[in-house]
Amino acid sequence: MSTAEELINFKQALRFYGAKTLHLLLSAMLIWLFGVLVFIPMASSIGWDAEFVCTLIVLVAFTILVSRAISGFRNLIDAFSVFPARKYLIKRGLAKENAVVVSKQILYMLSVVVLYLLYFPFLVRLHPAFSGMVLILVVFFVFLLALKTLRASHRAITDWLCS
Amino acid sequence: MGERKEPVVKTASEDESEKFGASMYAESSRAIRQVGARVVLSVGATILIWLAGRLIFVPMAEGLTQQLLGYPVAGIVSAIIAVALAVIIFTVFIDIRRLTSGLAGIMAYHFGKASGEVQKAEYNNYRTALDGVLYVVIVTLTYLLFVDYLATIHPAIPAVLLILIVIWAIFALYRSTRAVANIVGKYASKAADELEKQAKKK
Repeated sequence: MSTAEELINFKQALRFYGAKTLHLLLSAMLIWLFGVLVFIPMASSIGWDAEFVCTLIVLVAFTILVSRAISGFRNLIDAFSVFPARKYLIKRGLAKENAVVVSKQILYMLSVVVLYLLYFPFLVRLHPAFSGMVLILVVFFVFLLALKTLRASHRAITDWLCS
Repeated sequence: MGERKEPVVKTASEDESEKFGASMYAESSRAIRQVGARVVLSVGATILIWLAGRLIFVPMAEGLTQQLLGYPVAGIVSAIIAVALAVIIFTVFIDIRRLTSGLAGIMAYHFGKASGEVQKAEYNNYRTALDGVLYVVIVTLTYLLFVDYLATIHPAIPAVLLILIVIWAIFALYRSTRAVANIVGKYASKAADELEKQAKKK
């Protein structure tokens, strides 16, 4: 795919998924901000029951919005990943398909880590063990993505080590 | 001889949107001037009543062991102060609504002007977006005023009210961000068109 086709592909992805994904992610962020910084502290001053119910309500709303935004966000990452691949990885000698795979997996890893950090205040309020269990799952998922990245870039890494 | 500059010729739609922006700004400024002082005085009265109740009347009532019609005096005093606060806040709520719309209109004019483009639909989007967030903040602050008095009447009331406010705020913020997404979506579409032009050049 040439640069022009990649740009057109990214433009189409922005046009199809941009507005709806942005709306859902902005809503999720605003609800997260108000929930974590305002409503849950107010509820905790009332009592543990109120804090638990408010945390659950904000968590459910946040999860619904994020889950609806995920497919659009993923498509946007797939369309965008070509540009960092072209700028940083192809120039260092990596084949184009492998560079796109590496770029995509790195963006997925960053997104998963950010998502876990956003969920952390809710999970730790529900039960401290929940955040631990989810962290273990996140680490496992990031490890699988890192393996995929390594598989796509092992030749370039070994060439660099031996040079 | 000085440099001769070409006069800037505005299109009919640019002129129309500038006139709309200016009239919206004037309307918003008028709304703030008219209701601003009234809202500030009412909020001041609310805070004074809240302070007097919190620091004087409710502690005095809690020191009394008598009951009136089967209810503790502290609960009755808290209910009276809560009703007084509710009446004041209700009477200025329409003014607060006009005030927040005015503030949102002024901010929409300044943001729209700064971007170099002034569109009618954009003003409405800015207004909707800012209204939503401002209403949630105002309702939250109002709840904080009432929470102590409501807890004295019955401990479950603040919890139930907070849960209702959280559910309402989620829908209000969702509606508000839709307006923001409309604004950003328009700029993203323009950026995408620029990308296509650059792609065609290459």
